[in-house]
Amino acid sequence: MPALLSARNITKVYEDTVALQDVTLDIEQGMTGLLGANGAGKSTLMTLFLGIIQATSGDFQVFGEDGGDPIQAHRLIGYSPEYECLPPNVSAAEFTTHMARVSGLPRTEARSRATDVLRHVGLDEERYRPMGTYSTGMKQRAKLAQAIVHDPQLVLLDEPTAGLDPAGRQEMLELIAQTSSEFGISMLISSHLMGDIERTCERIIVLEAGGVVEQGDVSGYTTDTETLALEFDEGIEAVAASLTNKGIAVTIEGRALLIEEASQDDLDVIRDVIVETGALLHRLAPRTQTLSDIFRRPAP
Amino acid sequence: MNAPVSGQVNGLEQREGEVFDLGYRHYDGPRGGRGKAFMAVYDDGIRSVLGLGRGVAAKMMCGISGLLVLGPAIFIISVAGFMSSFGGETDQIPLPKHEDYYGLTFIILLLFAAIVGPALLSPDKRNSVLPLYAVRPLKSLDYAIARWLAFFTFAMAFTIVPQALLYLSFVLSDDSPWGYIKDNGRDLWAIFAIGLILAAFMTSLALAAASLTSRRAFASAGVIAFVFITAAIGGFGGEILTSDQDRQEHAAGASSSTGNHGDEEVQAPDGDAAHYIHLLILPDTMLAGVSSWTFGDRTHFPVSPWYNAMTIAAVIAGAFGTMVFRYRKFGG
Ligand SMILES: Nc1ncnc2c1ncn2[C@@H]1O[C@H](COP(=O)(O)OP(=O)(O)OP(=O)(O)O)[C@@H](O)[C@H]1O
Ligand SMILES: [Mg+2]
Repeated sequence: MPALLSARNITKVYEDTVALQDVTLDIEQGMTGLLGANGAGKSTLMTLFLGIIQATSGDFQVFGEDGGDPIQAHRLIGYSPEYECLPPNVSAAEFTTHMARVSGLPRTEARSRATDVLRHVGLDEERYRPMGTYSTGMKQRAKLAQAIVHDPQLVLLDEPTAGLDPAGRQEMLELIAQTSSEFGISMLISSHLMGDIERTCERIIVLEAGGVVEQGDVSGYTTDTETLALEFDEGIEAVAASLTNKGIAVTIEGRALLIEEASQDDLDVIRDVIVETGALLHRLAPRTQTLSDIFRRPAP
Repeated sequence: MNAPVSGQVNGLEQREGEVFDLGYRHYDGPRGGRGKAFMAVYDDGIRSVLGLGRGVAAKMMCGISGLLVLGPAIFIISVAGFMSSFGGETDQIPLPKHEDYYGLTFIILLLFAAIVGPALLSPDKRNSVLPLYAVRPLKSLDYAIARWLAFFTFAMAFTIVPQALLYLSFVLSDDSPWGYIKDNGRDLWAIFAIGLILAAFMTSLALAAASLTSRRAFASAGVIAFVFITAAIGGFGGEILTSDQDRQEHAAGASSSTGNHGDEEVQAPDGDAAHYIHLLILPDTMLAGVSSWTFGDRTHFPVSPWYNAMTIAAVIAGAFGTMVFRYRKFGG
């Protein structure tokens, strides 16, 4: 099974900006997150794959075919841009039906799928209202609906959570993840928030200033590290020394003592040591290391 | 009365309509390519002109234009019908003929094109909808040409339908309907030919303007400004040249040529620059020239109709070309 999308040494230069520099990557089936700060090149990468803009140099493939003639591939691709792209005087029902037809679906199929998909994204009652009257959350849902209405194999969502509050963000991400896993639609979603991606994606690609700085499985980054964090008001050094003596590896991070993968026995030892040394424990909590922690570390 | 079969499932109440909403499903049916996409864009263009799914104002716009364009035809037909029902001889009242009708509706057609035409291109640009088309199985030019054809369809209807009604009323009110058709069969193809040219002219101008701006209002103003400014240049230019020429002719003691003697070759010596600059008065060029060419020798225009035809063809080609250039590809 070839990668859904693959880029080989892609460079994209605008007049005076290098938006992408020598990017080589593969997008596999499932959910992939594209993480990067503003201007990192996320949108540029997506629009390149979609054939909306042309690369300055390099090659790319879509569904294993050279990306030169996108017409064929476009029948099985969905896209939602980062900005608003909905005509304000048209209803979601009208617009989604139309977009399904432009994707090649017959008229009646287009209409019934539009109804179903709008319901799926949670725009049921509102679907006959002009989209200009929608809230940001509803617009993001309508954008998602037009991207999946033709039942594509691959959907590219550029910042689908932009403008949403934390609760709205959570709902949107769950909707996207559920659509992807339940119906086997692969998704590439971009965000500048690590939280969005670690919650929903199986794979992650981190872009920084037009280059790929990390790529891999999200689970690979998170499961291997269960860390216990003990925060002390005083006496941290004594505890650390005593634990090290007893063969438990610790690291000190500010006022916190971090112990990786502590076993049940280790926990007993730790409790005893704290009592012995009379250190003042402020807080004790397990800490699942997040992707944020990983990428905050200086690159090796 | 019991709940309908589907109304209750496992004793759970369901809301009306929910039964048929299956949520997301996979689609295994046919998937069309460029042709289907083209037709979808065309259909949407038609709906957009009619204002379907787009609020009341858009519907009114099309309806009012339609009524205004049909109005004169209906009026003429009623007058003719009224006269003949009193045994009056319709030939004796100076009712407008086919070639006069365009003069009555040209301005309405122009306004319709200027106001409604840009709706087919400008808003999609303004609302950034084009990237959604760019990722579907059609090319940028497919999109633009489908939109062009959608408006062209209306422009054709608005030029041809009233004329066809008029023709029908002439046929029916004639003592010998078959005789009328035999004598005036040429009018039918003239109606069609002028409708085609006039519609292409209006459509190309409106969509060219729309291809240049994402603001509908600017595009509308652009269409009207183009027609009026070229006409002004034609008018003033003609004035200046004519008066120069008159002075020369008076000095030479020659008699000036004054219009309609019916013989174009004599009236319009090729060196007469005023007549050529008058071609810039596009409504005249369009109506007088092209209708003299199609309806035959019933109207008079000083230069050979070929110049009119070429002028109009150049405007259509230029405007269409502008749109094609602007839509040679989606995005940057
Ligand atoms: N049309 C353009 N002309 C010139 N420079 C551009 C253009 N589009 C993007 N850029 C530049 O390319 C770089 C990458 O832009 P891009 O939009 O891909 O970033 P992004 O990761 O999507 O950022 P954001 O989170 O703000 O959407 C930026 O420096 C941007 O200024
Ligand atoms: Mg972006």
